[in-house]
Amino acid sequence: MDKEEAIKQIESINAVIDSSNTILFSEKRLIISGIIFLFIPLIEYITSYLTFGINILSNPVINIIIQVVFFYLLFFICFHFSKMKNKIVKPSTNPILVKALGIHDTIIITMFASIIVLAIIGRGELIFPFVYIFVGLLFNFFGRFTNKLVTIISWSYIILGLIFMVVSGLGSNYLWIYFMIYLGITYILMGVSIKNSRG
Amino acid sequence: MTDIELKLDEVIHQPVRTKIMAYLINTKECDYTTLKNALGLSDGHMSTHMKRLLMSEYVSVEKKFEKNKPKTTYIITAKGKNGFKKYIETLKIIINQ
Repeated sequence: MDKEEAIKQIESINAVIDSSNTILFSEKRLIISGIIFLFIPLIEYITSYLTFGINILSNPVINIIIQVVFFYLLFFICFHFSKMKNKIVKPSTNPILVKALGIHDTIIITMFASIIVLAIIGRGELIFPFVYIFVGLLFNFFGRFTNKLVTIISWSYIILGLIFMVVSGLGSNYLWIYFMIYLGITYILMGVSIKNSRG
Repeated sequence: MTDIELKLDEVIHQPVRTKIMAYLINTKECDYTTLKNALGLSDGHMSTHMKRLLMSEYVSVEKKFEKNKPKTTYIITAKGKNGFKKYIETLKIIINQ
C-alpha cells in the first residue's frame, strides 16, 4: 500500500466513524449562538428604555410569562439551535446515542417544569442557574460524541450553575451578565474547536 | 512489497470489513439491520464478512428476541479494538514514511 492509498483508507474510515454519529454540533451555529449571547446584555440594556419607564414586570402574570418565554428561548438557542441534523445516516444508528436521547427528553421536561415552578413561586433568580445546569447536562451527554473540549465546558456549566445558584442569593443584579458572557465565549470556543477538529 | 505492507491485518484490510470495524469501533455494538442499512451492505456481504470477523474473534454476536422478533447484535471485542488500533497505526506509519 502506498501513501495515497493509506490516506484514502484513513479518510474512508473517518467518514464511517462520522456517519455512525447522528447528532453533532454545528460549529457555525455554535459561533452564532455565542455572538447572540454576548449581545444579550447589550440588548437588555437597550430594551429597558422601550417600556418608557413603565415597570411591566411588576405585573406577576406578565413577569411569569416573560421569564418562561425568555428562558425557554435561551435554552432553545443554547442547545437545539446548535445541533446539526445528520444528513448521512438515518437517526438512531448509534445505540449509545439512542440512550442519550432518552435522557435528553427527561431533561427537557424537568427543565421546563422547573422554569414554570420557579417563576410562579417568585424565585426567578434561580432560573438562569437551572438553565445553565441543564444545558451543561445536555452538552455532557452529547459532547462525548463531539470532542473533549465540549465535555470539559459542559462540566464547567454544571459547576458554575451550582455556584450561580448559591451566589444568586446575594442579590447582585449584574451577576447574570458575567455568566452570559462566559456562555458566549465558551460557545465561540466550542465552535472554533469543532471547526479545527474537522479540519 | 514492504515490511509494513505485510503487517497490515488482512482481516481488517478489506473494504467491507474496514467499514464494519470502523462503525463498530465508535458504536461498540450494533444490530444486524442497522449495520446493514447504515453501511449500505447486502445480506450476502453481511453474512460473508461477519463470519470472517467472528472467526477472528474481532466481533462477538448476541442473539435475542425483542417483541417476539429475533434480534442479532454485533459487539466489538477487546481483540477487535486492538486489531483496529494497530491497523490505524500501521496506516499512519505508511503516511508518515
